[in-house]
Amino acid sequence: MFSLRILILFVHVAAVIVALGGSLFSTFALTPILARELEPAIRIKVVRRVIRTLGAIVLTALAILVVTGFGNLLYYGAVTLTLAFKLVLVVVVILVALFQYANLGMRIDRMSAGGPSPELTSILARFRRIGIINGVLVLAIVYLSLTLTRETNQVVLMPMQ
Amino acid sequence: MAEKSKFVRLLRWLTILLALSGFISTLSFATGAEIAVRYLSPAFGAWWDTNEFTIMAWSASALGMVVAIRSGARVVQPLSARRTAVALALAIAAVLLIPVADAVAKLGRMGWDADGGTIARWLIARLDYEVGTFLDKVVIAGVYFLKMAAFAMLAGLGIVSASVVVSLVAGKFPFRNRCCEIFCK
Repeated sequence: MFSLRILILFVHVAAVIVALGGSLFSTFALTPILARELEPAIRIKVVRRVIRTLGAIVLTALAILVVTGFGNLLYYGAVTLTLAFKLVLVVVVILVALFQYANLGMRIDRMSAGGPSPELTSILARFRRIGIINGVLVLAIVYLSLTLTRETNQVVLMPMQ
Repeated sequence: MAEKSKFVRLLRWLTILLALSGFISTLSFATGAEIAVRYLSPAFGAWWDTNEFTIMAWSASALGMVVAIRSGARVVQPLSARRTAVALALAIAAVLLIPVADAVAKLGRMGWDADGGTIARWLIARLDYEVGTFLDKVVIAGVYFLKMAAFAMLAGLGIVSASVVVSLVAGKFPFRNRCCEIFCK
């Protein structure tokens, strides 16, 4: 019942839930509600804090995903076509997340010190769009992961020797 | 601006150095060139024979991680945060080099053409048996090196993510001033 393999898989899945769940909640629940309920000046302050905290959570989850992914791969024992495609998508997701939080996020952080502005609104909209794109990519990775564990007739590129 | 290129140059030289050490060790490992080294210096040849695989694995891992750190950090803004992220990520990568090298060496052992023999047969059919077998060994070792570097790139991207988290959480990276003393002056 308890094994290292299951523990690694559990942490891997939990990290996906944290990364994806946090992003989806922020994009579809928190941001629209903040826009409706708060004054622009206060909203910017809250958004700034949310982006900083969410960035730390999402990027930490991605780092954990890489570490546990290595563990899973060693247990899985083969590189299939699906897995190779998934790994490429993982690279894209990490780069997009870095752009979202370490580039746009930091720009929002700096610009928000001066209060609301049209430029800031435009960057916030871009931040949201990038978040949605990355969310879709992560969902695609989740789908590919399910096919990895459920489908038996996969094209094996690299069997473990 | 001149100092900015100094830091970039340092990273570029590190990448070139790692690629070179990887190339030499991979070629030596594939061709059994340690015999030639033994003729020149028996003691160094024996040491090289024992350690060439380790040097190959470490070079591939370090190369993959450095390339990933350089690529990942490219999107980080502003420039001071980028330098901080790169410096921290390089430090983490140096600490994690041995475990990452162990992991990618295992992952790289997954066969690269399913049932095997395809490339060997193709080479032997076009060249003679001796040359074909020799080139097959070189190709196998080269692909193994590239696979290790590719898996290490994933690790490198994870490390960049972790180092950016430090910047986000701390607001300012705690050793930022020290880093700037080293890299930004």
